Amino acid sequence: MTFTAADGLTTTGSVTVAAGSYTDGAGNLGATGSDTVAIDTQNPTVAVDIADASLSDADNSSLVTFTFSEAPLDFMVEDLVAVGGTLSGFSGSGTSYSVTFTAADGLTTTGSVTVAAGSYTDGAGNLGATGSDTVAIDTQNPTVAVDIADASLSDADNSSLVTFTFSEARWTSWSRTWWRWEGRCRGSAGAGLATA
Amino acid sequence: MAIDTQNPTVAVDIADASLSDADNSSLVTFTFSEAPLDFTVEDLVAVGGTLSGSAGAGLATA
Repeated sequence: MTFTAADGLTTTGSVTVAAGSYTDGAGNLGATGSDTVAIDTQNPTVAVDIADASLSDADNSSLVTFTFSEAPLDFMVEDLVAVGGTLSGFSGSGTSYSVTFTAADGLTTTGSVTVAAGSYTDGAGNLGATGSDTVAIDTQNPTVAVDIADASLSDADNSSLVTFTFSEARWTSWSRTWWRWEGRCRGSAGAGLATA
Repeated sequence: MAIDTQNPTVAVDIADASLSDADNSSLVTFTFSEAPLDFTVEDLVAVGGTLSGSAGAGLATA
């Protein structure tokens, strides 16, 4: 007879012959008999955590931790898929591992680190489930387009509007530039993406 | 006259020591001290899994 373990269990399985369920030829009732087997058909899981919520040029890397439900066998950096950056400094043991994620430059995207499904197993050989976390990446440098409205100036028309159009609103750094510049020109600042 | 008041016994053996997704089934053998009468799959209680397959005869039943 074949015993097939149910899926998703960590338990002790058994097969028992019920007492008195059979007899010998003389009609004497049969005694019970039993055996047990260790069952682990529980797939291990992993929780991935990218410590930083967002990355930029000012802080372009974050620790990433991996916490497993059971100590994995053969978990290695090749089991990881990084989007929007690179991984380095892989280490760990038991149920805890870590790696450093460094965002690529020039990106505005959602980065992620994923443990591929089935890339590791628990001690019993059960395939591991996937795990993933994401991080907002903005390593895109802002730009500014300057436009002097008039093509030429003379005594007859000696002033022109100048506009500054930013790729992203960066008011803090803009105001520093503005105060340096103010001594040499008269006018008013704007806000947001277009500044007059 | 012949006296037989000895209750028969059975040794159950699940061949594998452990089961996982990688190997989730095992042969189970039943070895009786005397050939049983009316031993059927309904006499078995399985915990943590299900039973299937063929019966045997005489003292040893797989």
